[in-house]
Amino acid sequence: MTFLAPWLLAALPAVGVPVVIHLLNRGKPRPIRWAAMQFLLDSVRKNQRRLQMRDLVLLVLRVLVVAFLVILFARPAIWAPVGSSGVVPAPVSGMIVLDVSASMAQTDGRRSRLELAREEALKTLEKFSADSLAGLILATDRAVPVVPRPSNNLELVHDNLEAVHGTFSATDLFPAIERAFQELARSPGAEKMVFVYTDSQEAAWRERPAIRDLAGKYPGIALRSIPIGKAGEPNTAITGIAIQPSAPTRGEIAKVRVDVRNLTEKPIDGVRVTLAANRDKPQDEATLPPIPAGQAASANLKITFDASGLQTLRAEIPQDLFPADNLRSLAVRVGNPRKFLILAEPAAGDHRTTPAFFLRTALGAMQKGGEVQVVPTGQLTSAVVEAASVIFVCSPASVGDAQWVMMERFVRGGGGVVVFPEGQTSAALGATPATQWLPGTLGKRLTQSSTWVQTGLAHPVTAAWADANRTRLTNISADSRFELTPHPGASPLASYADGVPVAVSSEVGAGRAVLFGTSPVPASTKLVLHPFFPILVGGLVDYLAVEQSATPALRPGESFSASVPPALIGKKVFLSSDRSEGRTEAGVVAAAETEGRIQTPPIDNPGGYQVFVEGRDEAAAAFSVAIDPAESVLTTADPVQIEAANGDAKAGAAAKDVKVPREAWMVFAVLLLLLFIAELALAHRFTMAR
Amino acid sequence: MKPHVVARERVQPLFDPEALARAESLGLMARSIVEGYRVGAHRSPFQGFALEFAQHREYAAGDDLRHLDWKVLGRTDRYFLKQYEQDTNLVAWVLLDASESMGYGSTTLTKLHYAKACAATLAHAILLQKDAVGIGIFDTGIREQIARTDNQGKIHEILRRLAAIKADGQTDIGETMEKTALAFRNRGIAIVFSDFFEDEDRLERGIRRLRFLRHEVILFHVLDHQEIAFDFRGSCRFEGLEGTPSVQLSPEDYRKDYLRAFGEFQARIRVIAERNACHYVLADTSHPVAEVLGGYLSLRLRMGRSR
Repeated sequence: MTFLAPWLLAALPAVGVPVVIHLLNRGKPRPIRWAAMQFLLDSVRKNQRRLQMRDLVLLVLRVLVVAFLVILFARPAIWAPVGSSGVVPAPVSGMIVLDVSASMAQTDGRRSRLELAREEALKTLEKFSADSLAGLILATDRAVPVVPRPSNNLELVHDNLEAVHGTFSATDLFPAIERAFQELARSPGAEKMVFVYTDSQEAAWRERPAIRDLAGKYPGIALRSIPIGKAGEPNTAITGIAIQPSAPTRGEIAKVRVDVRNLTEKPIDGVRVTLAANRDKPQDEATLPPIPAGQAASANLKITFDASGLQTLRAEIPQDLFPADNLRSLAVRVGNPRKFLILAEPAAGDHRTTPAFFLRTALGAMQKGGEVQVVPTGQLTSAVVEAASVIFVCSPASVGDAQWVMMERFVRGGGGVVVFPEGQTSAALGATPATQWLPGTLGKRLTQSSTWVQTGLAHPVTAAWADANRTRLTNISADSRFELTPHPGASPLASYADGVPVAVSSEVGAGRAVLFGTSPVPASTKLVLHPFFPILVGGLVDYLAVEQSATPALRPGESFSASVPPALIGKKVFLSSDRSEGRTEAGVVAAAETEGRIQTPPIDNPGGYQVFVEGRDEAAAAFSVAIDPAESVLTTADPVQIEAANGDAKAGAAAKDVKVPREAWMVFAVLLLLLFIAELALAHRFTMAR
Repeated sequence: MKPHVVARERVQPLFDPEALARAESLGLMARSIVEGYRVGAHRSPFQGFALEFAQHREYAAGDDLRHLDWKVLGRTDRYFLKQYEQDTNLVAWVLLDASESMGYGSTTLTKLHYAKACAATLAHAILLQKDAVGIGIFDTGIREQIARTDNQGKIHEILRRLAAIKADGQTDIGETMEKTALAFRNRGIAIVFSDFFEDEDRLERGIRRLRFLRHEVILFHVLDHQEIAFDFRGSCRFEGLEGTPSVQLSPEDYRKDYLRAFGEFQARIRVIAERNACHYVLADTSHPVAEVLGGYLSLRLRMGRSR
């Protein structure tokens, strides 16, 4: 039971009025000296208990009459199930919190959780009395107020409920519930309630303690959660997608790892994973081995992009009852074919012992899809430098100062340079401008043999070999090397057993530079003969191609922003998704200090997106939007814990049992009347009996 | 707050002129003939040698042969005794209850004052008709005694001493009656004024004692009107007299039961009176003394004439 005007209950102490009157009457007796006391005492002895009982009965009746009168004014109401008849609907201030997260898209085979939730919310709303107030807040991982304050325009709430569509966002009910409590606290109205319609996904209720605190902070507001659906549907999800290299070039074969998680309660077998670029047909597919319940498996697929620029990858598994996570996209910036420049003097003898030979072989083995050009130092011009992606300097002693300056400009502009020393490099480099921007300094020549160590492999190029169980790097040794001292801010790729770095790297302007301590020839190091060498060279190429950085991956509901040249300011921005045809307008390029800025509206739908600017055919940017992998876990929260969070043992009932307050003053009026009649009758009877 | 009912005996005259006039005109006719030495308005119950012949009675063993009627014996051969009448004077003993309970009065008139007025009126009337009167004031025993007198000049002393009496102490009328009976040397009339709020067995025992000595006993049951009607309203605290406890209550709640108990009490006193051949007179203090005394004396007169 509850009260629609609970402040009037403050008058409840008025039940003491009959008692006070009784005491006042008793308090001023008329004194009488009395002779025939023995007869009076006999009468008192015989009747006192009866009369005391009579007085008590009358007193209780009068107290009850006053109490019921106060209760009647406080407008008592009872909780009655929606749809029950025989009770008068009471005005209520209700905020409807509707979960529209991605998980609400799961279906029971016929209807989605969102459709069911909307239906239940509409049913509840229809049972509101005409003078009730209602508001609507959509819950994702944030609160989306649709009808933010309780309004008497129930039709508005009704229409908005009808128009609600699902999102692909993650769930956290707390922000929406908090907002609902805050709005109700500011709103007038008697009975204040928050109705939460959710699939009760575990992640949605993760802020249970905070919700419990809210219930304590706003004691006058009741929280009712209405779970939709009995339990989470069995689900298989793509939880991750990664491409190696992160910035492939046109024609390069890239490896793509697709993570698939089995979120059902039994093992699944034969999950087929397909991979496509943009909206094209799948290029590759794989069938996964059996995945135990709750475990994940990865499919390794390959893909080749026919064009450079911003592209999207699309991995897909067969649809289940929650299709939102059966498709996942990734935006990829595909570069033009790289041009690797090997700066080396022509070989006097067997060319198979030169650095150029080993580097060309390694680059070819990695199928980087680029062009390898060996250029003598004397032919190095600025045109040659600017056409290159990465320059491997194998004869630094013959590089002139002007050429070093050219390479510095090349690096600062975003290029990559790798320097291998040769016989007299140490002394030669000390007198060149290269010492200003190379990541380290070469010292004296070390002739004692030393091996690599497995530890300290934190550099992006060598991090993949940090696991000693996979690879042993300790059989790589160098017989002839230079002492290499890193400059401040430089990072070692790996180290020898004596602590001297194998190579160091640093960022120089927009580009990167790497300095090795040995020449890439077998006479100096066993590295070049090791199977690890081509992979290391491939990693170096990917590391140095900084201009081909990865594209951002957003969560649904986030906005994408990127800087563009100032010439594009004021031009329209369009978005193209790999999941739909055509382009949609997404604002204009705004001015931001000295450059233009693209700021899209929040993107709700997952997929790979390309951003185009008016008047340009090439995409200006690309990004991907993917649902939170946690949203794929459809396990429902323990109803008991939800009830505890609500602070109401009766909450968490089935959707059919949603209860709203109905005025029950008629019941109390009848009771009051009966009490009044009983009091009158008894009082009359007692008076007549005197 | 002081009780609104208090005894104001000083301002109340003991003589009610109307009552006095009626008592004078009616006289106090003894219900039975009383014994006396002087010839007055009353007849002697003793049949003796002189005076007027009354009747014959058959001889019984133990009778004095001096009173045998020899003439009848000679004519009829049967034994009869001659009986005579003679007039005698009245000796009235007035017993006045002055216990604390007699001090109650729902108006300014207390039961004690009412009883004193009745006693004074009767004493005056008795003296006027040349009879003798004695007065005993009692509570648990004889507190004060006004000696028997037939001197009309003593009436002022009687009034003075009556006026000085205060209500105090508890009641033991039975014991008082027994002692009084022993003290009375001559048979006469015992007139008792009391509310009889005491042990009824002891009361009856006292009456029997008086009756055994062949005194006529008249019980004046002096009661306040509120004691009979119990017509109180609102919340009251009844403060007991003669050592009884106090009680606070709403009188309306207890009225019915009280009236029943009190009516039974009155009936029991009346039964005791009838059982012992006494006169019972209800003296309601709300009624004038003249009405109460006049009514009773008229009754006595009618009874005397009917003999």
